[in-house]
Amino acid sequence: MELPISLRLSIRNVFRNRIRSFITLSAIAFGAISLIIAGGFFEDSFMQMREAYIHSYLGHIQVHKKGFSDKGSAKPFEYLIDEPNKIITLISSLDHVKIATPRISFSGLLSDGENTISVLCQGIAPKGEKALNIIDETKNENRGLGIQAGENLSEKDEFDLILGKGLSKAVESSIDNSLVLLSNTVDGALNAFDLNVKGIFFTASKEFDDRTIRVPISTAQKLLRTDKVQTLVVVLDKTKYTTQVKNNLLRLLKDNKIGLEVRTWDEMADFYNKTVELYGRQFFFLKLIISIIVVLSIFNTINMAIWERTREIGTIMALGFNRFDILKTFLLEGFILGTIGGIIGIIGGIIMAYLISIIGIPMPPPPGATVNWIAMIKIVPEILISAFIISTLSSLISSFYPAFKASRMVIADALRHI
Amino acid sequence: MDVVKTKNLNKDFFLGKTKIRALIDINISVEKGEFLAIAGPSGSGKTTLLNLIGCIDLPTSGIIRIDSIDTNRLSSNELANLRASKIGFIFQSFNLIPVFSALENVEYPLFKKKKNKKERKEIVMKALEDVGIEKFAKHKPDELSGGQRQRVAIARALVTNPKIILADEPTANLDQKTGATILDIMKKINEEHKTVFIFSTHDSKIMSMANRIIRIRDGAIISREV
Repeated sequence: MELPISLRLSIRNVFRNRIRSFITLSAIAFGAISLIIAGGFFEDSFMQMREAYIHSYLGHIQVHKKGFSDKGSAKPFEYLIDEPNKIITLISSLDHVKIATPRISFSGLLSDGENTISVLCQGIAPKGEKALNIIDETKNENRGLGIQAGENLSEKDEFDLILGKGLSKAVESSIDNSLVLLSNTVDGALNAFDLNVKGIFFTASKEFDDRTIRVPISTAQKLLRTDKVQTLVVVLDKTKYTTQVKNNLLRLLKDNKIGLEVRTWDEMADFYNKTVELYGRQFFFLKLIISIIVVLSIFNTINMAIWERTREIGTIMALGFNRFDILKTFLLEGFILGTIGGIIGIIGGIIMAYLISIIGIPMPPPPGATVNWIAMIKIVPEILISAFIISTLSSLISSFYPAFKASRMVIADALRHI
Repeated sequence: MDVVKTKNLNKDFFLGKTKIRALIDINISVEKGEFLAIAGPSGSGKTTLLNLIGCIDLPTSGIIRIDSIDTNRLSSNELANLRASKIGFIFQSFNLIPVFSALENVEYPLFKKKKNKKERKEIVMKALEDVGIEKFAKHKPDELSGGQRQRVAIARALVTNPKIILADEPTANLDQKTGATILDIMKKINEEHKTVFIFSTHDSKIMSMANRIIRIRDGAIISREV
């Protein structure tokens, strides 16, 4: 197959000054690699942060009694779910649901005899929470909720609790210490249990670790004098199915005439959403800066090429080619440079991302968190495509002015050019 | 019928605020089959006149008719089409496209003619044979001697079968012997195809071969010799 003459001319001109083309291609490829690495880093950070939030306590979906999200924090015991086991069975029948686990949260006072501190108490089902805490989607060994000392709660535990890392420091408590948990029952009476410290946990959220204790849900129900639960936390096999499962669950609840509200993790993870927005904005500016670098480098290359080839442009126009033909030739050169640079950039970016991810980048705890983590570079098709589009589009845009200038040359003047 | 006709043709340039009159009231007529030399010292305006006839520059005033078409009335694109169909150029420095082979250089103007690949190939090979350079068809310009390059340039000018070929000092960069050979080729084409050749030159060999000489000095015609 024969290539169109303008394309043949542009391709050959691109490789005419090899050193200059090499430098330009390097700049474009460097830009694309930077985008892929930065974008992949942000994506991996977002993914790890998201999964940490989901698997430490949010779950993928939470189910509450209707009205809980508006008024539940003021009157938590007025929004308890009746017959939780029946609903758990219903939820578990849905595709992609790994487990649905009950929780009941309430505030209480925790005392070691000398100090008393206000705490957020979560009654949890140890088996369900253990399933929640396993993160399938990240390569990091960290689990959503890790145990720093002692052991996590198990099915057979009754009057045991685990403490958040920050809280354990505040009450100066260690494993096997006995603490008193005082709370109101659902009817408003006071009730207290002696509980044994079985373990100290940490999660991605420092705020959570600073004020939370966990007890077996049966213990919490006894303390509160109820057999109801407040929350059903749904864990899925993959985070990407969240919306699909939410819709199916809403349909299922409607069909069974059960009035519950369903919220996904992203509706609850305000900090995560704001972080993503903040870093997303930063990434946008990074893209802009890289695009400007690419634009300037291509602009310089095409401008130089036009200056060097002024007489040639005059000759081509003298042969009967019009201004549009000249414009097309130089735009094509810019496009070819951008395309080749973009392809090299994508290949280089994938290799770099792979190599960096083998080693990993040790990172300090993010704001509001307590644990170090290992960042990797996630290869995301959307970022690869956007890096390629930015490379080619920037090249095309930056070629336009020099190409336009070339197409407006007076032929006789161009032919006189030395 | 005149293939080229100019009437009261003037061209001014500005050097800062100083007006330079490059051509003053040029009136010429060129008929089919002419081998015309425009002679004059450097800076006399002969290349400017050639540029105006070749529609690659615009006159300040006056009329140019190419094959009875008034070029003043044509748009930039129409002028490009006129050049593509009726005018061939041969330059002093050959002006070949360095990234193309000799064959591609000659083939290039044919892309404006919408010929298919086979037709193009036939026409190009014939043009290369006419100038005796067919063996070097695959060579790039930097692999050819000056004389060979100018032969390629002649083939490129010839390939669209134009009515006029404008040659701006075509032998100036060639040695005497090569220059003579190139001129013989052009004369042969002129005689066989009745293609008009207009030279800007101060080469006496060209002037001796021309059937008419127009002498210019300071932008004005000072003599016409047959």
